[in-house]
Amino acid sequence: MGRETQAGGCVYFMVTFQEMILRLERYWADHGCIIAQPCDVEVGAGTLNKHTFLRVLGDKPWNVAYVEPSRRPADGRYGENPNRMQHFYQYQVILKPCPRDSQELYLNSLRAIGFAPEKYDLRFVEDDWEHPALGSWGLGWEVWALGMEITQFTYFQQNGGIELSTPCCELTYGLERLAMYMQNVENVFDLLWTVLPKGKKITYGDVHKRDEFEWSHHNFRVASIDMNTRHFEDYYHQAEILLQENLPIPAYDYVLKCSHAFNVLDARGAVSVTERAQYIGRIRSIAKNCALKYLELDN
Amino acid sequence: MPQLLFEIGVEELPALAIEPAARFLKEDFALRLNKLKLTYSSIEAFGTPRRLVLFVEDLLVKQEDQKEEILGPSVSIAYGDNGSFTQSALGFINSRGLKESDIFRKTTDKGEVIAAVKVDAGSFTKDLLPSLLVETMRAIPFKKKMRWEASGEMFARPVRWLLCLFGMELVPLKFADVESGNMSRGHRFMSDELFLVTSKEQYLKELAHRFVMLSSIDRERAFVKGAEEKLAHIGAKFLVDQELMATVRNLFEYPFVILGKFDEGYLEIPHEILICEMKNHQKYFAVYGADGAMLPYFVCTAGTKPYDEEVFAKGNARVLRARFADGAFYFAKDREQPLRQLADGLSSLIFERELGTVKEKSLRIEKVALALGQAFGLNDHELETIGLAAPLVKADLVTGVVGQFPELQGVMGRIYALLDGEPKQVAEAIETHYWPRFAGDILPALRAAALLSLADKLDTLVGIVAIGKKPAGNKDPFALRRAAIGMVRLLVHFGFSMPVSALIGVSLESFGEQFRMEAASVTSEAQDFILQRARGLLIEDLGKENEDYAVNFADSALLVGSKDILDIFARAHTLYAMRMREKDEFDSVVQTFKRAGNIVKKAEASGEKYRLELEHIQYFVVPVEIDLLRAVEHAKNLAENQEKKGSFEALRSMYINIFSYVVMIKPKLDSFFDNVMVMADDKNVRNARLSLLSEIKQIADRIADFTHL
Repeated sequence: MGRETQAGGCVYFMVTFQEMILRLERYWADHGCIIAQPCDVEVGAGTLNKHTFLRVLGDKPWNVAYVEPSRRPADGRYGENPNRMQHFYQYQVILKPCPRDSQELYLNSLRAIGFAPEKYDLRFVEDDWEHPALGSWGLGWEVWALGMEITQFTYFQQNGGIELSTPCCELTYGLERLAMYMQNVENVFDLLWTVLPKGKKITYGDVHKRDEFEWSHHNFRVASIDMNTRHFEDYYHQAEILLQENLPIPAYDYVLKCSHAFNVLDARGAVSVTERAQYIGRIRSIAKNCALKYLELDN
Repeated sequence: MPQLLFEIGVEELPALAIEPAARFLKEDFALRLNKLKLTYSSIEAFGTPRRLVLFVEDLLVKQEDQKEEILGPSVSIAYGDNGSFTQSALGFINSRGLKESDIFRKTTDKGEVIAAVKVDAGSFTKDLLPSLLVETMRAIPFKKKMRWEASGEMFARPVRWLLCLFGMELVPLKFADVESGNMSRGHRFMSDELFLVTSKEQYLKELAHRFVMLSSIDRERAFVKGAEEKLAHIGAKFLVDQELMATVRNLFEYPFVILGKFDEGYLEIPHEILICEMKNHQKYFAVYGADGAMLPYFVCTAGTKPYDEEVFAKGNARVLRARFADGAFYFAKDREQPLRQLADGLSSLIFERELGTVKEKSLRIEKVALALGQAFGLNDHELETIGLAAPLVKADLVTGVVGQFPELQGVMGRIYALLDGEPKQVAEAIETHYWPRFAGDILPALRAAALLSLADKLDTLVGIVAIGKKPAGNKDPFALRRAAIGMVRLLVHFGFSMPVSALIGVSLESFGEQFRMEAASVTSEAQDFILQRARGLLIEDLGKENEDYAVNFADSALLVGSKDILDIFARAHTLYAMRMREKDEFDSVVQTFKRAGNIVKKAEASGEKYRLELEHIQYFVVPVEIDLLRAVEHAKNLAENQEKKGSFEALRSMYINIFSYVVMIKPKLDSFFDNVMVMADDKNVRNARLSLLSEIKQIADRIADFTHL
């Protein structure tokens, strides 16, 4: 199917959301990536998955691709906004070391899903990615299609406060945005997720709209402030103990749990400006400690 | 002579880095060629997002041989009794790599010595080029650089190919993991295949076919022409926003103009929001009708030739629509309450943990601006404006629009204030209290706004210094340097006169008890910081005309007299103007007073102070002394009767007068020096003379420390 699309030069039949992911998996598998699976702890972005956060450290080669369901509690809109959700999908690729043809590899991945760069005025627009809270930064671009950002393309330089001895490429595709362009849809919930064998159409809304409604109520109204505050402290404490025991990988999972508890508290409006800085400062320092410990034990 | 063609093929460079990098490439490489005495007829450099290109015409193929005469030991040591070379002569010959036959005798002012001419054969340019080019590449001052492969070499983005031809020949060189070749590429999406390059002319021809315009000026022209043609159809004009154009002409290797349209309804939200979205976020140009009114269109560039212009226009419009919808949403939400009510939200916005909320900062700004306003003689109407505006100046920080578009801070405050029916001056003061925002920015027009700006900057500076977070090294997170420079410019421009320590005192007062204990140390630290910036600005000011004197004039004005910025600037500028007007006279006055000043300084170094008292008069007996005493008293009276007036210009003319009184003393002082020994044997006479000179120094010190000129 992919080949027919390219031969035609234009996308005349629809690539479903599901098909798009399958093609990306196939493409990156064919190009030497391990196809990994999402993190089983809530994360705000694919960068936080340990397949990226820990594996970019040190010199060992690492090529991986995975879908990352990303949770940003404060972005929930009860399923009423055509673009914003508290849960969405990223497709994350790490190429370490950077291949010489990283841009071509990326462009060909778009062609593989039936997205011809020439038809969408694809552009590499300067965007220096920085996550001060995690001591991470890199240089690269937002990739724009007709003025809309569809991918973040970064040459990772530093992570967890540690200069990366082997710089790597990080590609983060915004799957919904990409699909909305390809399917020419204006509302994310109208995206065609798949067509079942008997022709029944399943939309993104069928799969996720009710989630958005319920989770938005959870994030903004119902989530227990006391419990999440308590959990934050418990998780934090557990992470500290795990680090003392030289177990940075489980410790890092607990840092992610802390981070999500904080995000929920933030969405609930339970964090004052001062507390916010303190929470972020604590997450940053313990995440850095995980990175340092991981690297120390890896060598 | 042959030409050099050097092309650095890169992954997409940041737009604003391209022109400076090309300029550097040309200037730096020219310097390196000059240093090696490699001549050429012309040198040019160009940049696009994907390449930096250097052309050098008629470059010398080989350096000229360098002849150098080297001198050895004297003849008497060099030759033995039998006329052959001695050990010391042979040592010279061998250590310099010479042959015995090279040696000749030469007479110098140290007598006759042995000598030789050493010839250093010039190098071939093609051998020098690789390291020269690589060094230039490494030196390009990109704001941010990155690594991408194992060598650790850095550049703004990864380098992917290097083309280097000198004459017809390939120059082999390596940067990071890339080796040079004789191939180049065209436009990324329209002609990406490699092509062979044989000469500059052929290269330029190929690029033209392959959708690459090397010159940013050509790209801008092509874009403007395309935009004008398209806009003519809808009767609109194209106003070039230079700042935006500097980016847009460097976004693409070849511009394709797109004219898009948006829903007219969006014109109802403030145009500042629309322009901010279009310009800062999407790099689109706003479109105006012949009458200057904004139209619901935009102009932008595509980087790839549109297969269907309509599709490209609609795609870009779709992104804009989502952005406008966001802007309209936040604007409507902000308008649910008047700005005065929104300002309550400032009490939950932290300015700095130890310095409290932005609400508290606003209250301090109000107190300080009013106190200073009274001191500087603002009228009731202006003071009223300060009182009304102060609680609102920061209010837009809690609005949705500014949350989305921080660059609209101040602007949205003005817009909301006007919509609320606040007085026009209040709205203007809200926007302009941020000015000057950067070096060389405009200043507010209203005095009320100037005081709010001054009070705001003073509050940040004093507060941050007080909690010990003064900038160190390159880190200046609260932009205190910019704040201090802004304050200095405001004080001088508006003629606000007050010693720096008093300004700081007013600010400290607004913090109540908080810094009472450390007030003295905070004052001295903050004062030093401000005066340091004032010095820099003064040097820059004076240096525009003549750099050599700028530092001396600034320091001589800063070292003595009041620590009042306005006064310091007036004194330094006066001296400077005097020097420029009549150089010789000025220098001779300075010499004479310098001498007087230095004698006093030296005498007072022991800790003694010399002040002219009545009891000294009896010891003045020589006529030239008495003449001088009279002249000094006359000048002192005149100087003391000068009324200190507010504005910079008034102060300057006052100091010009004082300088003329100093000049009046000069002839008497000269004949005093010619006829009298200051350091007389009689202690009383000596003290009287030193006291008289000290009096003279004090008159001069009203303007500047002449000993420093």
